[in-house]
Amino acid sequence: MKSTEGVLKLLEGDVAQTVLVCDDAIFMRTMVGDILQQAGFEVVGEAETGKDAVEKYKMLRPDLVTMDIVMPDMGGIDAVREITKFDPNAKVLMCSAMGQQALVVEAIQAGAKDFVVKPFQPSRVLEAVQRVLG
Amino acid sequence: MPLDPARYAELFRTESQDQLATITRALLTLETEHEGPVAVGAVAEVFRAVHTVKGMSATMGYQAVAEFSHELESLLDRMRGEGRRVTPAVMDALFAACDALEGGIATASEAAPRSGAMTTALSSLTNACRAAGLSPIGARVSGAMKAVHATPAGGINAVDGARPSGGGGGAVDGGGGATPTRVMDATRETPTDPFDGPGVIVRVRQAATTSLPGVRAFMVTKALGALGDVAAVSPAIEVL
Repeated sequence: MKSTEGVLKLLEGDVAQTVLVCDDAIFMRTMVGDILQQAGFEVVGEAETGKDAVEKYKMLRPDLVTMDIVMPDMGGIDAVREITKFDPNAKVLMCSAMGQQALVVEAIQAGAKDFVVKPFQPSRVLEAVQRVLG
Repeated sequence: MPLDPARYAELFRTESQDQLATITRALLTLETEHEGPVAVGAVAEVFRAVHTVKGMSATMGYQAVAEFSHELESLLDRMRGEGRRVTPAVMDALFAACDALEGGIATASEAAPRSGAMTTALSSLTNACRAAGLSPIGARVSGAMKAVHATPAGGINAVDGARPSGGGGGAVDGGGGATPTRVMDATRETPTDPFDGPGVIVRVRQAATTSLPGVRAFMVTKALGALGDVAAVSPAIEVL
């Protein structure tokens, strides 16, 4: 895949880019983490609530954040808002599900850079990552 | 770089059981608190758990569970949004839906069809919600922008048809990573066409495989707004 190669190229000769994976489901965190690690990223942290995501972003300052929308104790959209308030250059990729168009638009308005829709296909995730990291 | 579904099957079972336990706990709360903030919180908790099961089952290719969860989630979303009192009939239907979900998870596979219990539970819940005054599930608006137009004067117009351009317009890939496959027909439906003014028409073509095309169109419009004034968009941003 051209886009996958593109992501991998970003990593060639460099230290692996870091990612914070935010989702309340271990299943999803594991899958996203696997996809990104196979592409050469380093998963430096995981968060299972929006609040946890904001705190970990401030602590870890990752190159990329993957953010679920529906999470307890502060949803993903509010978390994006807090993260971009702290760091306007934060690169957040929303992980959406079917039927969440309006929420994804809200997330983009809050500062998210792009989105990917579940169920995840590794190639689509990496294409979206490439768009976010530019 | 395929991912092996078998690697996630056990994780699916384990986490689904956790979500079922969450749903049961929340329903027991809802049984004692039919309305008010506690009830709203309990419905939200059920919604989140069902949403999680939906995402996992869809990822695993367990279509019956994914579709059942999706429909259940839609009903819960409306319950959550409208905050109505939960009637005994709705309560019974929610417990039945939880049982149906549990059964579906226990037998989940790519080939497993929707169970009779799932069908019955959804029907009962839909009827109970309707009887309780919950608004019906409306048709969702699909608002993919079809084309955009831009001019040297700095104005940018987005239009819903690929109009014959005199060379001032530029095509933009609407994202999604695939090759654009269609260009919409050019039609003018309004007597005062905002695209007749100064500006450049930018045409955006989205691939048929683009995920959430309405959202992608919104992002394109937002990006154009950073380059200049967006004089008009069709379909309207509100629709997108």
